[in-house]
Amino acid sequence: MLYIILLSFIVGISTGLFLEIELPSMFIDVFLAIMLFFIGYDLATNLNFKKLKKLLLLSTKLAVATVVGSAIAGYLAASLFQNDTLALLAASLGMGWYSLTGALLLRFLGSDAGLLGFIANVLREIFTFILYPLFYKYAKTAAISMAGATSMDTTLPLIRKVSGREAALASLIHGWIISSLVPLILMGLLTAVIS
Amino acid sequence: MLILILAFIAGMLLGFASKKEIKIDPILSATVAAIVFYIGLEIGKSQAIFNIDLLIISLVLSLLTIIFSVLLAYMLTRGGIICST
Repeated sequence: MLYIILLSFIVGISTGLFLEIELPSMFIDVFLAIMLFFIGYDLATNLNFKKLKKLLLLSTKLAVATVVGSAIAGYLAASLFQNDTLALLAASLGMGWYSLTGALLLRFLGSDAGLLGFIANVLREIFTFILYPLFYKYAKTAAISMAGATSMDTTLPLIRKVSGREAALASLIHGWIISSLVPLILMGLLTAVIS
Repeated sequence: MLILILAFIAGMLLGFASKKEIKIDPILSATVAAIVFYIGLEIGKSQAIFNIDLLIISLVLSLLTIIFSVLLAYMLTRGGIICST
């Protein structure tokens, strides 16, 4: 998956730099809608209420920490760099979902914000792959929060391997909660501020 | 924006109603590739990739989100209740 993303990104940048191609703005809306539809479908079909109940409390605490921690980081980065607070806050609240965050920020705040949203969230995933074992050593299952939305898909195998089966289940629920919240938070934030 | 929210909700409702699992990985891979390509295209056109300041901000932001998320999670869960390996 990472190779597909890197390849698509490089091809996209090269095309933008060297060729003058104009795609209709509807292009991204269509693909975003398709992606959100199937993600919504997948989240709903994989919902197992018995397992969900067992680890809901822990996962909810982790999800709250992920959202609040990401928001604090966004504000802190905005004051540190004296930069666009909305773009940094929205980028941090993407919580690892780079495709959606990059696309939404590009669509509503421009190409610089789109790049920020994309790169910051790709880096969050990459750092999770690198740092999770170290963070788990000291923070135990609290380390799941670093993965954000990716804790239910791309980083889940790593979390399962390092932390065990039960932590993997908590990670899955945490990722499900975050994945449900990211579109709502980002679209709500951007709609509220822009309109 | 409304279309995106409706698409997400429609997907969830359909998933709840049917409960039939489908392989969405190829669909997701294709849509993610298309979206990332579009993002890359727009970034390339705007020359934003040469904005080193933006890249540094992205790096710092991603590290800050990780640190604050884990720190708060640790405070809330006191290290977590699950330690099985």
